[in-house]
Amino acid sequence: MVKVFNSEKQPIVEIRDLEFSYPGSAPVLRIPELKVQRGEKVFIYGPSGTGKTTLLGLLAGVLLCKKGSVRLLGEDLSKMPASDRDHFRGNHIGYVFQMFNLIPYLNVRDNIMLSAQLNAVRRQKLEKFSIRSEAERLARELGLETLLEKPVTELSVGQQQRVAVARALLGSPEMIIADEPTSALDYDHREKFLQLLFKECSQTQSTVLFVSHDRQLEPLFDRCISLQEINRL
Amino acid sequence: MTLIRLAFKSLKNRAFTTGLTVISIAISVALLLGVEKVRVGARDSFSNTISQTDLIVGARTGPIQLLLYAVFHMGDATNNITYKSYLHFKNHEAVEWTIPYSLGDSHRGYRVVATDENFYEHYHYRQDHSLKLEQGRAASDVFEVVLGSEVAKQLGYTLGQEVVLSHGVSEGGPQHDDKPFHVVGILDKTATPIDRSLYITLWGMEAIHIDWQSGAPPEPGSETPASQIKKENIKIGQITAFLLRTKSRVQAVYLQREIDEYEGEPLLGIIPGVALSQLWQGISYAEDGLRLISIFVVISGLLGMLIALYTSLNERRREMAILRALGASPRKVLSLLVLESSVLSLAGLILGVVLVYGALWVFQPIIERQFGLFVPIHAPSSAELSYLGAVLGGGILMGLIPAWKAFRNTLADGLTIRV
Repeated sequence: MVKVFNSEKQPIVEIRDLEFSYPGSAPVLRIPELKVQRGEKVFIYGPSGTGKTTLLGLLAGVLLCKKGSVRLLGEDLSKMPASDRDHFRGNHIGYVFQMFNLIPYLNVRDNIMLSAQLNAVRRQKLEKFSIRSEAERLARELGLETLLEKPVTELSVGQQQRVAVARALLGSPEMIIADEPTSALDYDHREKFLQLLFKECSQTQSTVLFVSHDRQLEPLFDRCISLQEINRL
Repeated sequence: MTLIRLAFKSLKNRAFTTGLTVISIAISVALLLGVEKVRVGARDSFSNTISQTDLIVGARTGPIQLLLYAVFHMGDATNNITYKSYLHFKNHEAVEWTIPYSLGDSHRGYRVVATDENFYEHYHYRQDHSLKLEQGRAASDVFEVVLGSEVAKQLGYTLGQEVVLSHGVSEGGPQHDDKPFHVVGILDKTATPIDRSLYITLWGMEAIHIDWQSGAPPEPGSETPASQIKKENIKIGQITAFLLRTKSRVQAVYLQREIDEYEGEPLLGIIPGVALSQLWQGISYAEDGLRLISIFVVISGLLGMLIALYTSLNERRREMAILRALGASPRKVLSLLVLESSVLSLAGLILGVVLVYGALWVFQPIIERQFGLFVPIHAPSSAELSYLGAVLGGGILMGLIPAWKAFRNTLADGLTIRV
């Protein structure tokens, strides 16, 4: 169902001549070209109202472009059946929201394990490790080892975001999409959080797409893309 | 598997609402099942008021009327039949046994039935239950009486007690106080009309009416004293009805026709099962009403579940978006909700069944004692199972409504739901 993405040269994200509009409205995005290479840590900057959310929806395969193409790992998302797109997202993208990332009725460990339990390719990537031991390893790396049994409702925002990162990383997906995951943290914690994220991502060679309206963190990334500049509306 | 675990944990997280929903479904299921059990129990008790009797024979009248006075000891017989006709059929080659009944007197509102030893030997109810004496022995001499269990209990009579019968079946009729009876036995409880009557011998019935002229008592002082009445001297002239058992069941229908065409006098023979179910039909609208009510209760229980699930959807939009981000398709979100409603319905169902059997186990003897209604504890019948199936199906269908709403939400929200 899902081809293994081998080519090192091929960009992990490739957008061409994209135009997107919500039904009955004027276009909100028109991107002639956007490429992200494997392993890159990309900061996508855009003030609110510039179409960040729409771009993320397109990259995650929840929204579909009618013109142009969005290719992830060489696959054209708009050519896939809806259910394959869902599988594709679950298997290859780790998604971190701004806040409220966690299922409230699961404890920390179960929240982390969920990404691998729901997605077969992620499970296979764990190879000989069990989902549980790998989840616990990630929790240790992220300083969550004492919280594994805790209900997530008892965690601080920073802890919650680290749980979300652990869940996104479990099973080493090719791409991590983070939608302003640090906006609820103060500056010190933001930097620490990013360092943790980068450390884990370089171990798994995951690409990071980090979206924010706050340029303070920009210097920590390999590359910065301004959504306003690439969006030719 | 993951989905099932998610459904369970999500329900557990909302334990209070979940508990209430399950309890409300359980109560409605218990009510539905309970009504059904009582209905069947009542019908069975009713149609098993008398068993192993193939025909009931009396003077020609309506079948229901004959049934009422011969089996339920209610209402009045319009006519008696001659003892000669009775003997004719008693000695008929196709007949195994007969139980004669002579009716018309009472004691403090309870009917008096004159019969013979065949009654104690052959009368059956609820398939194979025969009459047993709790105390004493069967009535065999002229002024001996045996009490039904309720009569003994309500009036507080014991063995040896003197009992004066009244003429006619209404209270306040003339008393047969010149010829008192004494209690020689008390029957075991049967939860049938048997419990509510007194049993004397056919001779006893004749004896108390000696000297009576066309329903009027003799002049005071002119009665024959009880001490002079010996059963050898009593000639039985007529009885009211008799129960009959054939040697083989196929003969019952032929014998019934023979009875109906009997030339000696106009007779009527009825098959008790048929007449009982006719009578039941007439009074069964009450059970339909009960069943209708319990169906509405089930619907309201399921509606409660629908409301509980539906109102939780808005606060769960975030959860759905997270599941979507983790690769769950909208269909999976729909399945999660359907799973939750199925778990709720099933849990309610199981709890309801446990409730009903628990209640039955506790209350069965009380119901039998208080209402004369025997509700057997059986595994669910196929009708009950189909009710349970319908409840489960209804629950899953109801669950589709919030699930569909969640499905639509999920499609509309995608990953971007602001809280």
